[in-house]
Amino acid sequence: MIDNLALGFGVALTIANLSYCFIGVLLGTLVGVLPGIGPVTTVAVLLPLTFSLPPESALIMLAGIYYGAQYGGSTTSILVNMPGEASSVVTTIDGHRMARLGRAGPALGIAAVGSFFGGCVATLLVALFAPWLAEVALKFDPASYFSLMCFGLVGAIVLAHGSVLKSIAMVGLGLAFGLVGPDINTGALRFAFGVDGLADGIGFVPMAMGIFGIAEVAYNLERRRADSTLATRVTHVWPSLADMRHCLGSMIRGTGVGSALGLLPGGGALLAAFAAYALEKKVARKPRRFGEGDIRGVAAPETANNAGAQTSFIPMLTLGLPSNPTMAMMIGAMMIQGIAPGPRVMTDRPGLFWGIVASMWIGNVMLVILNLPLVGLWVKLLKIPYRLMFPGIVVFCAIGVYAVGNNVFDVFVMAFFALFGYVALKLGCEPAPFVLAFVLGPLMEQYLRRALLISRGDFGVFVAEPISLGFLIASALLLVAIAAPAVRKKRDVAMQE
Amino acid sequence: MFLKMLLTTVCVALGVTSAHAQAYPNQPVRLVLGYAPGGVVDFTGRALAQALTKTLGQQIVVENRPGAAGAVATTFIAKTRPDGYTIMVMDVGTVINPLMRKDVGYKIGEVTSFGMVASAPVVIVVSNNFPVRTPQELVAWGKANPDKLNFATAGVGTAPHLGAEQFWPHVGVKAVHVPYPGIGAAFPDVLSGKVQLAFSSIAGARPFIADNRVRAIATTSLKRPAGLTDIPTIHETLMPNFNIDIWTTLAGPAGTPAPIAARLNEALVAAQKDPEFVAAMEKIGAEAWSTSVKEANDILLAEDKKWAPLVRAAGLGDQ
Repeated sequence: MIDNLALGFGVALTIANLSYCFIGVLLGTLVGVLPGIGPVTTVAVLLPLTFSLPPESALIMLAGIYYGAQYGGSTTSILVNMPGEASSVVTTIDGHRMARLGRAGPALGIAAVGSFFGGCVATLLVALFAPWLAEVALKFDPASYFSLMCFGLVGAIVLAHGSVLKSIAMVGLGLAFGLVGPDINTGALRFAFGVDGLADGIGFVPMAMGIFGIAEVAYNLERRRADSTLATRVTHVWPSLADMRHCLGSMIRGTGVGSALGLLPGGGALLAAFAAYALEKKVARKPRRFGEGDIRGVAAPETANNAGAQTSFIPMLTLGLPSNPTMAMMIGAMMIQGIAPGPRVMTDRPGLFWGIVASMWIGNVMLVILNLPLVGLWVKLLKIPYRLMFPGIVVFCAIGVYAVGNNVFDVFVMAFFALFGYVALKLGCEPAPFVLAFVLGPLMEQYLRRALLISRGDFGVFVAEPISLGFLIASALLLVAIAAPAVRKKRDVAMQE
Repeated sequence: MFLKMLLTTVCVALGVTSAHAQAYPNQPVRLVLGYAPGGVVDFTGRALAQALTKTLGQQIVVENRPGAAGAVATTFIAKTRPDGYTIMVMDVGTVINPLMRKDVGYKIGEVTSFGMVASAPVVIVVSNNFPVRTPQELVAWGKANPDKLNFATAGVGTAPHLGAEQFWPHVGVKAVHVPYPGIGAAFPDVLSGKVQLAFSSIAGARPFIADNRVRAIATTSLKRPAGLTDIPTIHETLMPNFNIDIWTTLAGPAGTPAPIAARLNEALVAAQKDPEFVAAMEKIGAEAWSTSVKEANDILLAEDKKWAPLVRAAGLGDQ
């Protein structure tokens, strides 16, 4: 173990590899902040450049882009309510609320600290248990994934801090919009109405930017004077020691949840952030403050995000199974370097494996050093008056959305969801459950239908597999836990009458 | 870099009017790719762009227009001006899309090929705990265990899927198709044996074959592909002339003048000899495939004829 890590640090601490690691995390932070461009596109565009590098350097840099983007992604979520990726959606709930209350600094600070904490602990897990943890990934069959997603969907209801009924309605709408696109088993198009732009379904980036970012701009416009700024009073720039202490438990739980879900190649890391948020809301004292700018609501998902990003390297490096498109591209990068990802990487190329693990620590240190000073800069951005800031946001969103696919249709999709998001806000319906259902719905359908194809239509598979049964029971319990207070309240009201 | 982009943009802007006056090509050529960065077509397109830049003597600018299995980009190409300055790397999807979808925005006759780019065969791999070692044993097992066989592919309407739909009825075995979004997602279920076999690209299966975590039992080209020469083909064992190719072709709008098509073909064939391009293709389990303009367009027509009845028979798409 010590020998392995020494070998790894020997590889990662050369001047060349330190530079590649730095370039990676810097690029990652930048693309995380910019709307539209995500780590997938960045890795794809840089892939050809890595062919001439030694494999260690190539993978260290690409890995840096991936987890660096997890740091950067929280910035736009907090500052302008705009999640660039599914994983930073929940950060908007309390993070942006904090920014409005003048606490953008502590929110950004705790996001960086939490990411660092989660990243470091999860990397330690990778170093200690990679070979054993890898096997967990293979225990999940389609039925188990379906039940896991089911659990996630019930959890999506918990996200809202308002009415449970409205939250369920938003989940339903999210599922409906997620149906657009080709039927996975026959290829027939559903709800595309002959529009080519809908043939792959509705894109996540234009949808999320419209429903969060632009709708937020519209909502603010009607309430404030044009010369005011987003943060009228900035109290602290850094999280206080009390904030840190307050968040320690959330960060530890977030790391646990994130690390566990990151191991699952079939979409577990996607759930990490909001599973952590939902858990926090359930275990925390004074849960009412969630959704009103509770710092724990930023710490938990950001920690979980980054922990999941690190542990998702386990199935990739040890089994050759990609947990997301970025990982699939890293597998491509390894194959082009002549390395077959799989169990033999660790024994045949220990320098590569441990070098990447060691570089993750170094990269996380670099990221926290890079991001904490930026907090001051970002907070200053909030002092830009609305009349300059809002047109800027709209223009950047339009450019970002267009750049993803060079497709004007995506800009219209964004405009549609901006309108949708605005109406939802006016009705007091929160967008987070909608977005999570939109993301989870197609995955759930995919696993459901796959499980049923393999079982020849026998629904028994969902209870026959112990993992699947466990998640179904957990979903049922969670549903009761959500419904019970609402039912009790109704009954109390009825009694009084 | 920025300056170069600026210059390119200015050149494109100014060049439009004078393009026809001088010999082709006298301005940068835009190469459209129908898939997002990172996939096999994107990789092939980018490798080709580098080689073509040398052999055509003009900068090739890559542009991704992903969507609807390449249909978004192909529709764009079908409607663009046929002057050889906007071209595309197309794949099997170009032929299959109009067969699957009623309202796809182009007809196959609206595009024309300038030559094939590369081809990659499909490999049939089985789970290690599945007791089958040859194609013949697979058929025997399928007949002895009716309604037990599942096979994975990278999705509905992909070449490996349609190839499989052609294969099973011919050998008289019934198997259930389990589609995945990309073959990488299929391997957890193939490794665990939930799905006994996969019709996979060589690139996708290679790491698992190398580690002996799955067994390759057959390939689908007429000739055994490099690196898998000890694995029999379906053509030589069960089904003569069975040939499933994951091919790519360089194409543009119909009506591109013959001299421009000829110039592109010449540059393409030269690019295919570029050692860097050859090495890049090897890495994704593909081989450069050089043809004339006419041969390439005949191949497109033959592919259309080959897949149409299969798509209908399998009940795929909007029907």
